[in-house]
Amino acid sequence: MRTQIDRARTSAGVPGPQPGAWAIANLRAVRGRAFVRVVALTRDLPLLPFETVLPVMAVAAYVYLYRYLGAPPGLATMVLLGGVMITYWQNVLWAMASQLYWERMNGNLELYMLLPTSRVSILLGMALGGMFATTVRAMATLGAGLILFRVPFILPEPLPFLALALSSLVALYGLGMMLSSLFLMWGREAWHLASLFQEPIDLLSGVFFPVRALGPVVAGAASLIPLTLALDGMRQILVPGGQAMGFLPLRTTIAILAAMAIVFPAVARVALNRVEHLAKREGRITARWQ
Amino acid sequence: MAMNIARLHPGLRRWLTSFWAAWKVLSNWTDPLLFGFYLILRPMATMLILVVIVHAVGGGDRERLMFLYVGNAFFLLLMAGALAAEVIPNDRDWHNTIKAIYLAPGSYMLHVLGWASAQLTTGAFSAAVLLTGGLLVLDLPLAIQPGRLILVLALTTMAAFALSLLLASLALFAGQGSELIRGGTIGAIYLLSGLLFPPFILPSPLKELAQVNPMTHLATLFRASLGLPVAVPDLVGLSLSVTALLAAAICVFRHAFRGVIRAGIIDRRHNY
Repeated sequence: MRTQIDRARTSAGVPGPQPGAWAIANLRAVRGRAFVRVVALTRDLPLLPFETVLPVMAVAAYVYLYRYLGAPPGLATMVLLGGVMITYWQNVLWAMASQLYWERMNGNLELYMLLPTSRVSILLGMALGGMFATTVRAMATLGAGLILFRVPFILPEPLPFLALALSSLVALYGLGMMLSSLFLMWGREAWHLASLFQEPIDLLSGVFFPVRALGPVVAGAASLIPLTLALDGMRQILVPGGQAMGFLPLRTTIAILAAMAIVFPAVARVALNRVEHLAKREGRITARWQ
Repeated sequence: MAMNIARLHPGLRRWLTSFWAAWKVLSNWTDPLLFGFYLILRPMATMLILVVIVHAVGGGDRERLMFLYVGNAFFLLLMAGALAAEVIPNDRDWHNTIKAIYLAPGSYMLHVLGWASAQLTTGAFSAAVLLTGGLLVLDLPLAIQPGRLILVLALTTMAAFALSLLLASLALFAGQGSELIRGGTIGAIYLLSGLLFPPFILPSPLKELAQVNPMTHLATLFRASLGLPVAVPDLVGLSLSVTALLAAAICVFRHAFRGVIRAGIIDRRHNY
């Protein structure tokens, strides 16, 4: 599309775009789409307790369940980390995977298709804005949990933790970018699919218990979900004695997550191109109720 | 003989049509078999999480497993109330019909209760499947006591209606993010309703909060109605407290609805 515009400009004698204009336009698109998510943190104040305080209560329910069952304190830290990571998963499901479908219902998707930038920039902006907003909420949950439950928490090796956190976030949001195109193609079922990906994923990812409790076959299959590996790795680093509850060695976990961080965004790009094709050639996808 | 719905009272007509429309929206996105699977899969996953926890940490204690299992089945009924609050983003953001529904004869509150009734129907189905599974697969010694079960189901319906109205009141003022309201409320219900553990495990003041929460006593009565060895709560006091909760929820919803009408934000949409 860019080439056609450039040709038209040249034949009309209009000066061509400045070098790097394409990259700058895309960076602006990323910033613009991320910006609304960042400012939304303070614009939707009635939801603030539901984003920060009440998720702690869900975690607390499982912490007290473990106490009721007479579990050691390290397991409470494990549950707290599960509660923090589930915040990211919910954001990936509801604000990434379902977002293009939601944008179609609101009429924004057609505008996205007309933009003189890559559609990946829009998704990248969504992901970066979502990551920032969710990190603020997740840190509130973690801080409140650490203060309220006084659970043991350590960070002996910051570098592996940073590598794990970064690869986990990119893999998770890459999966969200990929699912957003697929959910759009699946139509009305998207909303229900997002609902379906909650409790079963909580179970398979071992959000509230070490995933190795599911056995090697189920835990191995569940490792295709980045949340499973992210949780397993974080517990090994941050929970005292956490290596005993790990499913895979930490280095392997980070390596698989890094691979996912490359594969998922690449597949997302292919899926987005397919959506764009359907939208432009067949007039499908962008209109409501399709 | 087909019923002529036009002859019904406008309020009853509103409730019935909302119930029917909600059922259609909830169920007709796929074929009935997949929908039935969907209704079972989510609660089954939650139940399996609890079963794994009890086996991995609690050494498979049957008594505690029974407590958790029945408490979680009961939770599905309460959650129906929380889910019904999605009627607001559905009407406002999804279908853009909130103004038309507001202008139609009958109260908007009955429209919310129609949605809550449809959600309760699906929740009751999921709970029944789970309990049957507990009876047949896990061999849990459940013994239904019909009188108590009818009473607790009636009171739980009222509590779920109250929950739907309270959360819908909030959703009227909130923008995008009904799943956050639902998720947050589920956490509070889990913690303060004695569903996973007895309230005495909690520290003060959470313990006191759980003890004054009518849902804690409803959960106890539900366990008693299925033959679990628990002390039956004061039925008159429980009925009064649930009625008071519903009355308070009706007042809050009416006040909130008047508020959004006066502020002119009933159809305000968010998107980020």
